[in-house]
Amino acid sequence: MRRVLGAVVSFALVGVLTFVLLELVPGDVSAQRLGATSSAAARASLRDALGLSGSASTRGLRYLAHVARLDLGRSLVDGREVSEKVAERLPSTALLATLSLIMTWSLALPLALWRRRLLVLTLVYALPVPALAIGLLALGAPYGASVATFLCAAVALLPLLVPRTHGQLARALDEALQSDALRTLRAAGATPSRLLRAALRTHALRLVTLVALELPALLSGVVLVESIFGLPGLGLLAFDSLAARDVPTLLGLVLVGAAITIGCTLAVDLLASRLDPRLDHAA
Amino acid sequence: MRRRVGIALLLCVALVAAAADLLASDLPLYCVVDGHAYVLPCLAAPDALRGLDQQALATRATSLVGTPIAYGPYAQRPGGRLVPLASPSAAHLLGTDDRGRDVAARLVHGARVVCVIGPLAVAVYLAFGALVGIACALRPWVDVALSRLIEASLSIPALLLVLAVQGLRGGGSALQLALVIALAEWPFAARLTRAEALRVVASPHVLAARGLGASAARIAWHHVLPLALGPARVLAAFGLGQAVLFEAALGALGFGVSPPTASWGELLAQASQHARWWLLLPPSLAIGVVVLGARLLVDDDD
Repeated sequence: MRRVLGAVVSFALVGVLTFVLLELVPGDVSAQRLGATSSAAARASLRDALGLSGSASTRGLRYLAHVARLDLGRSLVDGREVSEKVAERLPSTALLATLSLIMTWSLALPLALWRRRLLVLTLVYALPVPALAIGLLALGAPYGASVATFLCAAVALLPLLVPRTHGQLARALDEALQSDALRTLRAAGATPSRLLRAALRTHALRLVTLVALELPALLSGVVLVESIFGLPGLGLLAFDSLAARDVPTLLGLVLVGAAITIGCTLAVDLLASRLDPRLDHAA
Repeated sequence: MRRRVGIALLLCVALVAAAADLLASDLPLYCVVDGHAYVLPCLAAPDALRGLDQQALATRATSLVGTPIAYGPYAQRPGGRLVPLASPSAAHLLGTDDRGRDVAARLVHGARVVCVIGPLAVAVYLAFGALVGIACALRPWVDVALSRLIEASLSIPALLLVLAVQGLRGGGSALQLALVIALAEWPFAARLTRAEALRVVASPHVLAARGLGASAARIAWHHVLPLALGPARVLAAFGLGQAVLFEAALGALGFGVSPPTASWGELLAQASQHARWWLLLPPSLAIGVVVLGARLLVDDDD
């Protein structure tokens, strides 16, 4: 219960933080939409119509009150509900994120087990080159939202994710393999694959936490890759709303991103004793 | 050993950035034109040679020592000819971009952006992170509020935030870019320094200082800060790598340093528009070198 409350507080803080930050940034949708030559009066009436007049604090409080009711407001550009816009883009982003997570782990795990450190590190960090090359050169032909584009985009995400995941994973596995239990198991003549399974099981919680902690980085990467590849996901939505100075949509996107991370962290916290039964005994 | 490799890699990039004008410039290292000898015109840019480039000087000068890359980063028509998107050749070792500018020259000068943004972003985010971290450790009620804030900030997708701020502000000097990047990264620094500062505050020498009646500011500055900066090296290296990646990402999306400044991100943006390998591989490799160098810098188990 305390954890749930903490998550709610965190989420509210994210809301306040992003609102304040985007408020501090100059930029005016009315000038954007009516053109630089428009009259001051016309701009003012458009601002009124969009609910942009009034002091920042009243608007901020009103916005937070709406968010509390799961209402992210309406887009300044086409007047549609932000939550609706986000929901229709979510599946594409989720697919891309899952795909690249699977790829990242299937690359990072073998690399973390390989002992030649300088070589491995160079490999891990040289990865941007081939991955970006494959990803970006595929742009030569416009694919649209096809399977091939998704695969290329997932590959292009690898350089952003593999180094971080590899570092954490290598450290976790090092510790696991040096633990007393694993040393005993090795002395008893267990095969390497049996050892690895035992190491992964005992450190399951840490590894799952790692995935949850990687989520902001993953979402950041998705924003980048989707905008470059033109995949119809949250990232492209962010890019497009940025071009149109559509602040409500941007705010909504940051909030949704943070909500996903906070939600996953909370889920991991709540599942902790399931993943690591030792926690129950310790408590 | 690994750390030395890291230092060497980063030093190489810094040296290239420092010597960018000697490596790639419109004007040569030395030339004699109309009986006048010019030493290092690539740095001094004398009025007499204004509007000339090394290709034009090759016919006029009686003696000429050119720069290794005989083009400046902004020259669109070296020698009076516009050749956009030319593939690598003897004339242009890494080809040209869509405005006919030499990619090698842009790459060399792009290192300058990295050398400004990286250290600056790291300095700002370390300073801010340390401030928040130590404030948390010294005052419990500050800790309650700020550690929530740190946690909340950590769950925001950094690139989305940076993109939003940078995009809405529009344009961008390297300084602004560095500040925006620091803005996205400070919670990492704050979280680590907070943990370290909490450990230091509990140690006997801080208790002794407090017993002797030292003020909170004195304790923070003299007794906690020097010891709490333990993870600073790790944070600095991490921040450097992140800053370079952010610069590249923002540049690739068209929200980096304002054109026509040469930057690696800008080259990537062109690569994604035109899908040419000579626009893609050089900046990716360069970014890889910096990130790897920063990572090796903190590799302490050797």
